[in-house]
Order: sequence, then structure tokens, then C-alpha cells
Amino acid sequence: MRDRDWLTRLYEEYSDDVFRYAVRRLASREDAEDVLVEVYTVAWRRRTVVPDQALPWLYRTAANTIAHIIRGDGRRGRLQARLTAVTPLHTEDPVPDPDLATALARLAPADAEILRLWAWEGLEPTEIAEVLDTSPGAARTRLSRAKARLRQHYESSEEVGS
Amino acid sequence: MISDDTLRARLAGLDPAADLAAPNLLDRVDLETPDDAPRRHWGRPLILAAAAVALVALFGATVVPNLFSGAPETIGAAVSGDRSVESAPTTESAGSADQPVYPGGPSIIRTASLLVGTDDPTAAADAYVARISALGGQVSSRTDVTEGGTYAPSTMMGSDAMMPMPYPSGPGVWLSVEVPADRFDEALAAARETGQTVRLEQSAQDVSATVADIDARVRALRSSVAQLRSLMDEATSVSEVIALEDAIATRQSELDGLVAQQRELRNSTSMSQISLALMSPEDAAAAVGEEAPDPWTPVRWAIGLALTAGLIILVIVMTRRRRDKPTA
Repeated sequence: MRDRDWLTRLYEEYSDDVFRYAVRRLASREDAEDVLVEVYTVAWRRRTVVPDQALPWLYRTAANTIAHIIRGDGRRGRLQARLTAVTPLHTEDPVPDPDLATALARLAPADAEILRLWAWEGLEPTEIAEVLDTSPGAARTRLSRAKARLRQHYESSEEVGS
Repeated sequence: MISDDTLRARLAGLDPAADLAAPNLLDRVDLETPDDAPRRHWGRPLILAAAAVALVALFGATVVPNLFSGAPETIGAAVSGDRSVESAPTTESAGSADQPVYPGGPSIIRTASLLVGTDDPTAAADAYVARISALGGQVSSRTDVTEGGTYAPSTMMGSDAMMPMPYPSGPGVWLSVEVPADRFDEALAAARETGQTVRLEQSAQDVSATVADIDARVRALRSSVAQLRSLMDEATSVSEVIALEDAIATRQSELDGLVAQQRELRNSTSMSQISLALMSPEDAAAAVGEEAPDPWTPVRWAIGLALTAGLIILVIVMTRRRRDKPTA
């Protein structure tokens, strides 16, 4: 039954993940909250098509919402200026691994995004494929290429550093 | 070489939101918006398709018959010169010789252009120039094109009443003449006597209202200036004199501009312009024949329009399908 209890359970189960996903890609906590509300509103509106394994679907909807905002055709085009890909929220803390952060920042946006889905959201290639709306094989290939490129940047900087 | 697991763990260490918990915002989720679950959105494409069909039908109903019937009518009228005279916007009574063109009666700017077929264009042109001179007119331009040459003037006359004429190209003589307005009908008749009139266009622009308006304003300004001048004699202080001079100067410059316009209008209503193209009868007929519509043109238009409409519908349907997928 896709009723309000279902929505509540969906919220209890996944709202932390969706919220973190949004926070990681937006520099502002309020904007992430807006995205969270929007994702669950869409989930309710389209409750008949939300799959049982809902998390990748929720991530994809969040990605669409964020892209919609960035494109500026949403009500909140102002977000674009505040959007950052990797800038952490808590800038007062020292970055634990600056070399790796630099290496990640130097990657192409698509490579960095697939690595974030893998390491931050903790998704496996099949789930990544669902989020990115591609085939599992393609996601696997792209992930391993992204890893290889990251290693290249990371290890070369480590050698210089040591 | 770092292992995958190490890399993943180290990357996770960069996560800016690792321990964040989501606030409970469930009450902000809008549960009232109607569902838009997996319905096929055929409504909009259908409406657009219907609109496109209607457009094509409308096109077929209005433009196509015009393409078929409108153009041949012009040809028919043009070949028999008399009928085109009837259809042209003439004001025979207004511009005839026994009525003064200016001032008083209506002020008409009349122009005409003709395409005439004759066996000897050069001799006919010479005879016509002589006729025009006898009527008190003058030739403003003449171009003789000999066998093998081509000439296609883009414009006819240098006046506002310039009439666009689809000038044929080929050997012949192109004449542009000015005649006094009250001799316009005689000059036009003389032009048509030079040979077989293939095409005749006339225009008459009634500028009576403009003329009357300018006349009235000129009169008013003149009396105003005269009044101010008389006040000048009674002026007692320097500031009064300066103010009056200012007012007089403004009105005087306005008056000068209007008088110039008045003169310009008087010239163009007193002199009428006639453009005459003289060609061999075959060339003249061919020149008009060039304008005969290709009977397939409307069909080609309709097919092209239908294809375009179909393509637009296809694109709309495709984009709607694609858009439905990722958010669904």
C-alpha cells in the first residue's frame, strides 16, 4: 500500500541519505532541506512508480531537482552561485587528506561525481547505474576509469609530497 | 598502488556530510498536488497535432487558391491593358485637366508604369520623348539596352510615390518621365499608343488632407509671428524683448520647415511620373509570362508545411517521452 504510512516509512528510512546527498552537492543546508522536501513531494506524487528499492530512485530525483535548480529554470536560480561540487560545509575543520581532495577536484565533473556516489553514498556499480540512468556495465567501466584517473593524480602528488 | 578499499575509505574521509542527520520536514511535503504517475501524456501532442492539421487545412483553404487564381488574374488583366486600368486605383475625375490640382481642389500624386511591346523600341521611345516635350514634360532618365544586353533597374523613380515594377530584363528602352499633373492622362494615353500594352500599373495618392493641414498650420504660424512682432513694439523691458524674440524664433523655424514641406508637396502634385518600358512584343510577353505561377507551387508548399508540422510533432512526442522517463 502506497499510503501516508508508506511515505513516513520512506522518510524514516532514507531521509538522512537523501539529505546528505543534497548537502554534499550544495553548499547550503537550507537549500539541501528544500531539495529534501521536493524529493519527497515528487515521491508522493509519483508513488505508483517509485521502486521498492527506493534509494537510487530518490538519489536520481534529488539529482534532477538540483540540476533543475542549477539550470536556473527553477524558482531558486540564485542557488547556482552558491553551488559547489566539493567544498565541505565545515570549512573550519582541516581537510583530512588535502592531496586526495586536490586530486578529486582535478577530475572531470562526471568522474568526480561517480566517485562520490561510490565512496560517499556508498553505492555499488549497479545502484550507480540506476542513479545515473545508464547500464550497469557502463557504470562499472566509468567507475574503474574514474578510479584509475584519481589514482594517477593522487599518487603523483604523493610522490612529489614525500 | 592503493587498493580499491583504501581509496574508497580515504575518499569517504573527505565526505562533508558523513554524520549529518536529516531534519524532520515531512510536514512540509505537499500531499495535495494531484498525482501525475505513469499516465501517457498524449493530451498535449494530440492538441498540437490537431492544431497543425488545422493550420495545414487553413493554409490549403486560403493561400493555395490565391496562388492558383490570384496570379493568373493579374496576367489576364495585364495582357489586355484596358482591364488593368479599371483595376488600378485611378481617380479620373479628380486629376482631370479642367480642375486645378493645387490649391483648392483635391491634391493627388499620380504615377504610372507601363510595359509595352513594340517592333522598334528605340523609334517608339524617341517619338514618345517628343510627345512628352510637347506636353511640357521632361525625361528624367532613359536607358537603351541593345541586343544581348540585360537591364533590370531596381527602382523606378526617385519620388515617394515610387511604384515598384517587376522590370523585365532584356533588350529594350526604359524611360522615366515627368509631366505636368494636368497633362498626365494625355501622357499616359501617348505611352499606350507606342505599342501593345502588356502591363500597366497606376497609382493615385490623395494627399489633400496633408496639404490642407499644412496650409492651415502655415497660416496660423504666420499670423502668430505677425502678432508677436507687433507686441515687440510695445515691449518695455529687456527681459520682455528677449522672451518675445525667443518665441518668434521658435515659430519662425517651424514655419520655415512647413513652407518647405508645402513646396515639396506642391511639386509632387504638380508633376506626375510615368515609367515606360519598351521591348519587342516577344520579349514583353515573355517578361510577363515569367510571372505565371508554377501550378505545382501550392502542392510543394502544402507538402513542405505538412512535413514541418509532422517533424515538430515528432520532436515534441520524443522529448515528452524522454522527459517522462528519468523523473518517473
